[in-house]
Amino acid sequence: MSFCHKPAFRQILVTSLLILLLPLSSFAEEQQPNILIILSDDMGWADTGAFGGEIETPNIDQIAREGVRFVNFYTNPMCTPTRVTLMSGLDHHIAGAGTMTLFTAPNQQGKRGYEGWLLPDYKTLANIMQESGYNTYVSGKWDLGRFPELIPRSRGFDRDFVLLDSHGSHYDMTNLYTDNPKLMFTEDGKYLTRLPKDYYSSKTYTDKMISFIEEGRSNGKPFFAYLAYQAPHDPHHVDEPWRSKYQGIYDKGWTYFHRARYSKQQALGLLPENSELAERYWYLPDSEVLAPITLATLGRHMELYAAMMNNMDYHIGRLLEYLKEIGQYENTVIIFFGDNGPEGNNTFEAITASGLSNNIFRAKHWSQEHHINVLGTPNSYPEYGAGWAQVSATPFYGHKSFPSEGGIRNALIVKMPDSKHVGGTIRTDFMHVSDIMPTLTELTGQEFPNGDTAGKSWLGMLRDPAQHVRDEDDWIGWEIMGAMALRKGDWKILNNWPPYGTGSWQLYDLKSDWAERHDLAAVHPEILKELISLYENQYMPNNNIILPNRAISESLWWNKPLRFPQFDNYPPGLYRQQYHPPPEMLAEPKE
Amino acid sequence: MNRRLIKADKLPGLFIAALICMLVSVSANAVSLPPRFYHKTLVGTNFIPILGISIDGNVNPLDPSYTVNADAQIDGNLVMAGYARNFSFFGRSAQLAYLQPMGDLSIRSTAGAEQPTDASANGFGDPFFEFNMNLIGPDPQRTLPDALRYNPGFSMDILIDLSVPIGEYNEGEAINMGMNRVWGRVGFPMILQIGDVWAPGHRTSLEVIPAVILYGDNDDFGPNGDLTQSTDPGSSLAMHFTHDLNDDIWISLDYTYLQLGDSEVGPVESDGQSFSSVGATISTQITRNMVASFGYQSTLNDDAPGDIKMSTFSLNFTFFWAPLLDGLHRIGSDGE
Repeated sequence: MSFCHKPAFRQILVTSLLILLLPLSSFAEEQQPNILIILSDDMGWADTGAFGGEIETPNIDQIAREGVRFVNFYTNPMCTPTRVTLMSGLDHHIAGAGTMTLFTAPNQQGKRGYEGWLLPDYKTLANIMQESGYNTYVSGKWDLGRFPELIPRSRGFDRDFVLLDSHGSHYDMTNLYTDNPKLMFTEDGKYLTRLPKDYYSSKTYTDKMISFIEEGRSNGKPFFAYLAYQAPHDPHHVDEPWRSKYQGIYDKGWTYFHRARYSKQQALGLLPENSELAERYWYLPDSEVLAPITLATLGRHMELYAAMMNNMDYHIGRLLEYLKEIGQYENTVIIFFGDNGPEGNNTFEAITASGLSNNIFRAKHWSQEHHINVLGTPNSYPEYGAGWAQVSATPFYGHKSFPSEGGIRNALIVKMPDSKHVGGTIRTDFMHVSDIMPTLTELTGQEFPNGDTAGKSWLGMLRDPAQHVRDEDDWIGWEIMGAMALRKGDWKILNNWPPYGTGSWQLYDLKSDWAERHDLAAVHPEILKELISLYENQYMPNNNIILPNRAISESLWWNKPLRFPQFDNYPPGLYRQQYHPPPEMLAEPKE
Repeated sequence: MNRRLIKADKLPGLFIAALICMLVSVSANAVSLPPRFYHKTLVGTNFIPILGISIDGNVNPLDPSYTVNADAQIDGNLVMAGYARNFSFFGRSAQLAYLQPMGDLSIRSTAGAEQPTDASANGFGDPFFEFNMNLIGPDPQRTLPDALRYNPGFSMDILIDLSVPIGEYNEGEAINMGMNRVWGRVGFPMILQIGDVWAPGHRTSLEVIPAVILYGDNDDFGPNGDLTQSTDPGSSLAMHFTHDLNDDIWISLDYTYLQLGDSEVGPVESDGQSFSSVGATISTQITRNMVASFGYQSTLNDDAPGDIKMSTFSLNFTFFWAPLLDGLHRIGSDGE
């Protein structure tokens, strides 16, 4: 019998080795929860059943029943700004997406923070989770940069299948622009030359995410999964049977559904006492006066939007079912929200207006967008306009691209393993998308890596319902294309450019006036002054706010020649022209 | 009102006009109605079809029993004009059509050198009535939204045809415009939409129309008008594969099979023949209120002397109108 076979010695040896190895074991290897962030695109606050919508979203509603709904959660007003904040925990003006690239003003061009993508010198949420021992996956819309150093593989994701652009077809690589005709995708760090067979955004993104999780199970690590659906962003493409599912439902018109959702929200207890419904946009008629054929035609757009939401929910359900099958559902933190308010700007119509070169592109690739029976199919470009966007944003005023509540407040649902919160709870904590990175850095025992942030960790509140994320002195500011807002406690100042606003500061008490109907600037000038001072003296200088030195219409390069000289090489090959990746980084998709 | 709303408000007329692409006509083949005939449209829509036909063969195209005139050459220039209207009937979509044949026919035959035949007929043929009602399929299109949303999916109708013998018929003539006997048919037109989108530029359908043909007797038949012509029931199967080439033009491949009933003319009995014909149709909407089509159809395997032989060119114009659509047009809300 050899010496080393003595049981006592062996026990000591093993114990010693374990003690030595213990400090090297990562946070994640201690059986930490998986993290699943589900981000929807251009979804309104009221578009899920859990938040008062009539659209069937049973799987999202299930997460809400088992988790917590947050009714005072904010994003930024547009896609890229929200996504850079989510990934970095920083204000978007610092992180690289001070505005949307399409709308950059001359005085912003070439300035740090206004590149239009997430600057590579900041660590991402994926970096944090990867360093904590997580498998990191992303599928869906990326919208944080196209160049090799900006794609998910370079930003901390182990696996990826992403659309690099901000919008386009849900069925293929068709973009909107003559000079930039093809959408770009990456898969596991390679730029795809084509899409997989039977590609449809929500389906394929879900398939890929399930395959990433499945293939990563063997190493025993928990996963950090970022599933960023392109739905329900226009074009409102969706397959049968969803495409026909809501036919005729929305013939009642937007006025009916605006009120119906508001009533349901009241019944669900989502709204504060004495709340009001936002006033209808001044440029929209009451749908009660519209002809049946007009209601049907306009309603078709909402039918498709609803179908897309329902379809996205179906695919979310597939993912949840898979997590249950592998026994990871209960051990997964699920965070669901939308990236900004609903799209009510009919951007496609503007980008491809008659007489533009993009109009020729539209005639060739998107020419059937107006036939009611063709809407929703690959050659159509349905976008549902301001009337339905206002329904999606019920009870708020405003939509995407404005810091009115409808543009920035979004429906957040969080489901946490072993939560102390009662399932289905509705909370009113003042929260922001910048909080997510601090929350996860705290969860993984790390320090926030990107400097100063207004983000606050939710962990204390999530673990102890008695705690709150922010107190009355905490504030958050917003700026997009010259429209400004700041919320401190229940007070909010808002300065929208005309005609959407007055061009001057207004003051609202969000304790009850969620619809921003009652400007109290004249009633509480001292509060107005304090908040403007905060905005001008703290928010703007500390967050790299460069107010645009032109009206937004002057930067709509697709509409008319710019009124200002274009900065050389700005933006460098991004968005306005087709980007051609290095040949060695091209690949076929993994079927 | 914003730009999108205005645009949407103006769209319906365009859509409806594009949807009404059906043809109301009968082809030279008396029991084969043209492609897309049984597609439905807005209740209350009126149609006036005018079908010009040039035929060449050995049977009278207006004779549903297709009595072969051996070694005969029959030529005809016919017009079928009429009126049709869509309506709702017991909660189902229905259509009533009336068609009036007219024109001239001529026959030349060298069979029997002593008595060569060289005859002609002109005037009005027997009026033809058709009623069809949907049994399975979309509800009637009572409103513009219904019409916009029309998708045939799978639909099945019942049709009842009746030809009334009041056309010009002269006893003892070798050829007549009228048939001097009632005939009719009962059928079940079926449409199968292929693909999930039914809109201009996207429409593809397979149409199958099985039918039974019933005949009355002609008691004034034969060279002297003293024979009785009787025909047992026959059957027909028409098929059309239709496809939109683009928003404005569609084509159809057409096939017709006929199994004629056994016939008896005086003491002479003969077995019913069968034959097939194939052809194609192309159609387009040429104005807001008018659809045109051109077609050709020809019998197959028709080389033997006793075979039924017929080829037909047809040019059809169908005018249609609905008060609501016309109203929208007058106030400039149809996008035109």
